[in-house]
Amino acid sequence: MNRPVSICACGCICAAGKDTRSCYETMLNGDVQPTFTPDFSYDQPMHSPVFAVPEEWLEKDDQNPPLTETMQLLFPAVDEALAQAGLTAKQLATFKAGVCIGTSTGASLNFKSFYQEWREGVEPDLEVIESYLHCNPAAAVAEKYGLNGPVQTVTNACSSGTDAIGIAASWIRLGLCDLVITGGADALSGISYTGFSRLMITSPEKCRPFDKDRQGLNLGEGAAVLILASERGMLKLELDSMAEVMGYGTCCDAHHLTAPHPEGAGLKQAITESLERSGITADEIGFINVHGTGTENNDRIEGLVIHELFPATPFTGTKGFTGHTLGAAGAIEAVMTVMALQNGQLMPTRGFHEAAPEAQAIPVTEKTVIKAQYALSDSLAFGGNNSALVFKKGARCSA
Amino acid sequence: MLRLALQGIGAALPETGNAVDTSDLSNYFAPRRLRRVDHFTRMTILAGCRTLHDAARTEQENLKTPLPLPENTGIVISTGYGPSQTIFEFLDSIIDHGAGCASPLAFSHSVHNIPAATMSVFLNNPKPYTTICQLHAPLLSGLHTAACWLNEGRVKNILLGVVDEKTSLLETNSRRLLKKKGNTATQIPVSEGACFFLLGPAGDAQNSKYGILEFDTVTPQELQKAKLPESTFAPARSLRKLSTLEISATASQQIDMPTAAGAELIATVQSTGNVTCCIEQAGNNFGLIYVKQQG
Repeated sequence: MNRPVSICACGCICAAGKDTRSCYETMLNGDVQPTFTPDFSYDQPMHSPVFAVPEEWLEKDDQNPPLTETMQLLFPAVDEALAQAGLTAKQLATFKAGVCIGTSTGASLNFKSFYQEWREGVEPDLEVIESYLHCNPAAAVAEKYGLNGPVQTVTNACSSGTDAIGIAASWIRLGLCDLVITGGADALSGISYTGFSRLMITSPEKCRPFDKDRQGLNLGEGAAVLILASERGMLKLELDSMAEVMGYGTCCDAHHLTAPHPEGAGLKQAITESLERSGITADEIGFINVHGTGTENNDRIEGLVIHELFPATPFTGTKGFTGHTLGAAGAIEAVMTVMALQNGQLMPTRGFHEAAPEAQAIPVTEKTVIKAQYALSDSLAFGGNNSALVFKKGARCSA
Repeated sequence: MLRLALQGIGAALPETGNAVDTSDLSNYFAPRRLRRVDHFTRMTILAGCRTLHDAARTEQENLKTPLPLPENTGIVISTGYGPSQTIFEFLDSIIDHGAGCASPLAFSHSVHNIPAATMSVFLNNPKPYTTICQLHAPLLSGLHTAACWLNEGRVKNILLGVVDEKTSLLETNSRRLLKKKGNTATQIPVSEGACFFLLGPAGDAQNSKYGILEFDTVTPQELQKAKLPESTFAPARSLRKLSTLEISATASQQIDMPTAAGAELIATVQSTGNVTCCIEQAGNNFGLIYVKQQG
């Protein structure tokens, strides 16, 4: 069993809201409609709507070189979490603090216009390259906030956010630092939009996780962070934990680069390990946040595994509010899982209406009151990676 | 100081600045299996396989020779830029054929964790893996994750690799950025390669081939106070900064890539002395990695 690690604050921004509370309230009581803007289609009509963060929610960037779009999302989430923890830059400097951030497009060389000009023999302006070099997510956070602990950008595709949190908790347990800013961030990108479209897994309408008529995913963007703290760190901050990171499990399928194992072998192993490391059994999990992208493959395999391991546990998927935010997804969902634990209310699976006749795993469809001590959040990724985190309700809660 | 047993090393590095020759990979896997594997991933798998044999003190005689993969081995790959060429190939396909006909295969292979995933498939190793992508101390960061996973008993061994590939665009950008900064001094050639380390818990050090790795992050002042051994290595790009701190180190390779510290750690392991050392810059601080022979 692994020692629990306290979560002392969090921050979140995505299409559902510009901060943690508004995201959670939207998921409980509201809805979000994906749109066909901004236009990512290059020379094609855009066929799948996306969950974009409204520009007016973001502060104007006057840096030189400019921040990448991923960092424009990540910094507000970090600021929100630091403010919630009451951590000023001066106080932060008194901790050994690290940063571990998951991303996908945020660390990719996705500069099509620059590349195209270079290919045509032009020497394009280097600004976009300088932005990339200055905006590796973890390194940029470490630099901006003057952190002196370990720095890591995790790039495990769609499980990156979950993996980053699991690794950050290990840093605390190993004594590498007293605080870690951890989570994930990814902005929408024309390159990934084109790639997912060409893989034929995007939906022409709003995504419908676990629904019998699901047609695929919608891409989204966002960032979310948790601040993890050691016991010494929590004492120094004089805070109660809002929740705790318990066990983290991760395992690859070693089966196929883009399709999950047909029996979900890696996912089962990751979930089982997360439970064992938490020192609890499956029936102690009060609810589950599933990956639930709305693709045929993901939801079928994930549903099989959830039904086998947790036949009576309520579960929800939040991508009908956020879209699939890739490297940020696991982090946004971790923050929303913590919020649901803390507030005792579980959000519905927006987009789900009716299960396929053969499906045995049916998600929560209404806002639901829950009394849970533990919750699980899982992520599946390209490359056959599967990861799961167990959270425990903390002392600071309203339910 | 964190401590890990170092059981094996292996590399796929270029001959005098050229691209890494990965043709030896066909000694390990049938060409048919390799036909869709990109260059970055080929370097990764080749260096990984060499490391496994180095640790086991065996050789690949033919395709039927089983790879000596130890039980319960996780994979950690750390890179500065990731599989750059596959990303550019996907961009090429958009530019040349239009977004509606862009290559889905190139897209799926351009995702950062595909080299680690491919290695897991080739080794038939359904265990934990992770990929790290950053210019900030990629070797030290990989060692941190390896130490965490081994300490928690998540796996019994870690195959840690640091990998980067050279592309024409990277070379051009490096030259232009240096020129823009007014640095017209002799440029260290941009290069590529993969360096792997098979690591185990520190308790296994007595039986490990290369003894123990001890590593920590230190400030410049702490580095100046450290008693560094005669055999101290660092990437060529860090030597000037180290010399301003009056630190004497050697670069075994006159190459520039984000993961160059991997090649220097290989040189550190291979150099003589009971204690040798490798330095990797980590922002304003430094990763200090000692190799200590046992017995």
